[in-house]
Amino acid sequence: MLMPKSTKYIALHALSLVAYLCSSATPLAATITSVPHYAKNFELSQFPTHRIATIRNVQRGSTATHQYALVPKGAPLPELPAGITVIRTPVTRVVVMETVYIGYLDALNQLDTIIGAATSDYISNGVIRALVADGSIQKVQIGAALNIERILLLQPDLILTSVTGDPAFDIPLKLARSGLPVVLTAGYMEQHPLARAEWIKFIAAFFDVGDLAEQTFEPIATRYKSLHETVAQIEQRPTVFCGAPYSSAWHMAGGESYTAQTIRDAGGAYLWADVPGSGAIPLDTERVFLKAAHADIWINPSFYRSLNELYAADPRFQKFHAGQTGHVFNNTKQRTASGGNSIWERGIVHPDDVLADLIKVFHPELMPDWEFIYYEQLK
Amino acid sequence: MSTANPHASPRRSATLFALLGLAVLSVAGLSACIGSTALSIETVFKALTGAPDIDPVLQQIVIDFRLPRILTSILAGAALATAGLMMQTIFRNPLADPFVLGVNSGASLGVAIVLLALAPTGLSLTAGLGVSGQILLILASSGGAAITLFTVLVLSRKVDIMSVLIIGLMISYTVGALVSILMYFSMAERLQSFLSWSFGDYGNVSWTQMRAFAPAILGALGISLLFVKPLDALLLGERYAESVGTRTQRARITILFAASILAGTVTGFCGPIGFLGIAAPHLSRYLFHTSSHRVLIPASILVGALLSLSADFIARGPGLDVSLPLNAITALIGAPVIIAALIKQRNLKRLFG
Amino acid sequence: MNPALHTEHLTATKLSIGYSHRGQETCVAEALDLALNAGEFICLLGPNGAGKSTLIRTLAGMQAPLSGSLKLQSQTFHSISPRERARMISVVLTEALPVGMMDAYSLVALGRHPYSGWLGGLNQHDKERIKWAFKAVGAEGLEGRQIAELSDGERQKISIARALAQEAQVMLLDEPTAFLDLPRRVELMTILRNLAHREQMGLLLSTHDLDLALRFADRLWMITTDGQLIQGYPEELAMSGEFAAIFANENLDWDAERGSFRAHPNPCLKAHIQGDSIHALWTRRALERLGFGIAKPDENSALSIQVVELDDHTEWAVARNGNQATHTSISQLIDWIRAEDWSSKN
Repeated sequence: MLMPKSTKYIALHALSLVAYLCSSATPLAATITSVPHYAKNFELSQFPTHRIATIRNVQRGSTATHQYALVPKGAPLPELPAGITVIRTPVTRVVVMETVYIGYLDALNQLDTIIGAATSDYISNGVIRALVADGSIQKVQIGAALNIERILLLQPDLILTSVTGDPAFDIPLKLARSGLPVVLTAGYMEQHPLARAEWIKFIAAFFDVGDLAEQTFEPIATRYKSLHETVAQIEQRPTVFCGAPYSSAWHMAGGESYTAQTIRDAGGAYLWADVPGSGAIPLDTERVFLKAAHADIWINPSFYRSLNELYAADPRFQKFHAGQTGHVFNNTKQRTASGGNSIWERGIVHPDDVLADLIKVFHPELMPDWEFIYYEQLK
Repeated sequence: MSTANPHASPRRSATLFALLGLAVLSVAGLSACIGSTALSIETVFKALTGAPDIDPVLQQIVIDFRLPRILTSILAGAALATAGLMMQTIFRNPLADPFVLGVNSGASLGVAIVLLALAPTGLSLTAGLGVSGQILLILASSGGAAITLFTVLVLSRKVDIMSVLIIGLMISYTVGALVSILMYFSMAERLQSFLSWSFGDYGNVSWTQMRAFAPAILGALGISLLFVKPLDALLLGERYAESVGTRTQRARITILFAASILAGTVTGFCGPIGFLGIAAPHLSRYLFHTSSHRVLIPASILVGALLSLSADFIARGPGLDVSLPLNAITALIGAPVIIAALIKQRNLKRLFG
Repeated sequence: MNPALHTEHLTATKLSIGYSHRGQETCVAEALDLALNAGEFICLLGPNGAGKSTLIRTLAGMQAPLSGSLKLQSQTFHSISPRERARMISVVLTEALPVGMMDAYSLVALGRHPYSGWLGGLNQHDKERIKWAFKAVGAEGLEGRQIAELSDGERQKISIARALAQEAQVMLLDEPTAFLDLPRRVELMTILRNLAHREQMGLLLSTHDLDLALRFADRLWMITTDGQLIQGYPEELAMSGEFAAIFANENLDWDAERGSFRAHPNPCLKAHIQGDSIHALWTRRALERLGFGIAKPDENSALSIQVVELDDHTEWAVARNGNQATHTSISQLIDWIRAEDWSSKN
């Protein structure tokens, strides 16, 4: 028996309607969004054709979020939100505007993708320094002087940077017209050491080495936590203060800052732990002395590496109990002559080593066989 | 027989001097009591006399922190005020300040070179010499000031005093431009350090450093007092000054030299401190109503010390938990003082004819 | 008058004055032999640019002479320390005192610098001298006033008082009366001349005021544009034609009779004027000003005026072209002259 023409007509339409619905529903298909365990400022969302990286909290007080679309090279551009920056992955020509990225890239074995760097004096990684010295890696910024033309000529497919809100130094504003692939990171705004280390996953996404990132990070996180356990229960904590004045302005790390967190995790009692804020508190030597005259331990006094240097800077430093007993420690063991320090490169990726160092500072009896990697005692 | 000017009677001057001296002591005492923590005057007294029942931390605060700071403040204020007065007289310009010969810019350049250009290598330099960064800073800024002064004096040997002023200003701008270039090529952290220096601070002069600071200032102040007569004569201009027996060439060099020692030493140890050098002489003239340097130099010393102590007191944020940059406070105090003194005088042109 | 003792306070021998600029010397006057004696009030005259100021500055030690020697009280000028020199020679310049915020007393007290200690303190003698200085210039009562509040004349007096306070035997003044009105100028000249005579000072004053110079100076020095210095008594120079030689040009004539200059007379019309009184004198001057020449008794004239002094008034009897008229005031006469048509022939 033949179907009436009208029914066939309706069936055809119904079928095409269903087909259309199914195809347009594809963007709504399940995506995998990985939210990091410790880091608060990034998220990676996996789509069938691409990934979206979301950044928030790029500078103090910022409520904006930034998104980047990571599309594989060679693939057609999928539908994306308007105005989003597209980065083709895996990237092979990278410009790093801060030295911290070198740490991540080293751990991910991607150092050979670096073609340009800024603030080259502060780089600590020996391999990179050599490449900068022989010109294989170009210097793209000295101080506030950004060489835009040089960056353009390099034709990078990724520029990693962060912003501070200071228009003199922030490069995204300066590069706004250039169409270059600038990616902001907010790792420095994380206050927990593991959070900063976890950004290795964010960086890895651009190189398609997410698994390696996982494999690298997990053991670090585990070790960090187990080290933290050893001191977490200890009641007797040495009192700690940090820093040194820059020509009398002594900026003390706030109670919610990265420094305060590391002190707490390592079993120290930071004297300014109850002052809110993650930025620095502007004090002067007298105010610090009032509170810290009897403190047990002094860490991170600027760039001083010996007690003589310390006292020569200001004889009053000898009046601090920590100064008199020689309990002054600085993270300058790996510091290069030009001011680079691997604690800010490798040390960011391996906060467990930094934690171990600090535990040895605060509770040496717990780490008898550990040798300082980044810290040294001032003599 | 004596001056019939009702505004400038000796008795009035004596009273004013006494009041000023009292004011300086009061603010000094206040500064000793107030700071990161409030101390009673009794505590301060105990700390100074070494009473046994004083908390050693508090005692150290008074003796190692507050006392040198107060002394530095007094000396710096006196130095800048006297230098400013001498500059205003010798250039016959009410806007002249101690830094008009480019002393400040020279010091800034010295510091900029150390902090910005040499920083990484410079610091290892100092470590090797056993000299601290602080001392290097002092040497660099005093050296920069001295070289600038020397350049200006050499260039201005054969010209009249107005040209000296202009030469000084031009050198000032040139050197400032060099500092800008250095700043442009510097990292953010080092700039922070340089900026910190340029805010000015009295708290950096330890007792050891005081052994160099105080004699330099007192010595130059002494020289200034010796030149009271030439300064008075120079008010008439160099021609008339010659005719009453002043050796103007020698006076010019010595006065400029003394003023620059005063200004350069303060800048070297405390950073650039503005406004005190202009405000204190004007305020002194207004209070004592005279142009005679026999009165004005001691007056400026006291007024300068008073303004300086007050500015430092406010900058240390009494009651707040933070401190403010000294330079900003001297400007906030100094500018209104100058404006008020000028409005009262009603006609600045009258000052120098 | 002390003719016996002619103490020479300041002498110059073969002095050449001028200035050098980058090695090039410009000589303003050369080979001058000058002496400024005690009790003498000398006026220095000369056309603009002849070098009066240069001479004063050189004699004051403010400018180096190109050659020659300068002696103060028989001591070589530049061998004396500035302080000693200031006790012997004082200077007053043209420019107004360049300081406002100072009272007159303090300013005059500056004149005691060559005597006071290093702090500038004044002893009894200093104070007496200052008081005397104020009195000598007639400025008592101005001590407490601020300089900025004084009039030009008062300022200049204070300036001179300061120079007097230096107790110097020589005073050099460079056009001190330049900005003053006539009464003030006369007053100042009187004061200065009396000072020179009473205190036996040697005073040298440069001025443009020929008339006052002729009336007050004991001697005149005149600098010519070609660097000559002529010295002599005022009357001698007036009569000798030196004035004419130095100052006259195509527009100016020296009138030895009157002791003054007058614009070059070019009268086409002449007038007879009879009379000896003061009115007659001023009538002659009025007619000269109106462009007439004064006809001698035997000359032809377009106009004849007789000035008649009556008991209670004066009359001007005018005769012209045979017509007669009488005027009772000089204004009437002048109005009439101005109204007349003088283009017609006599």
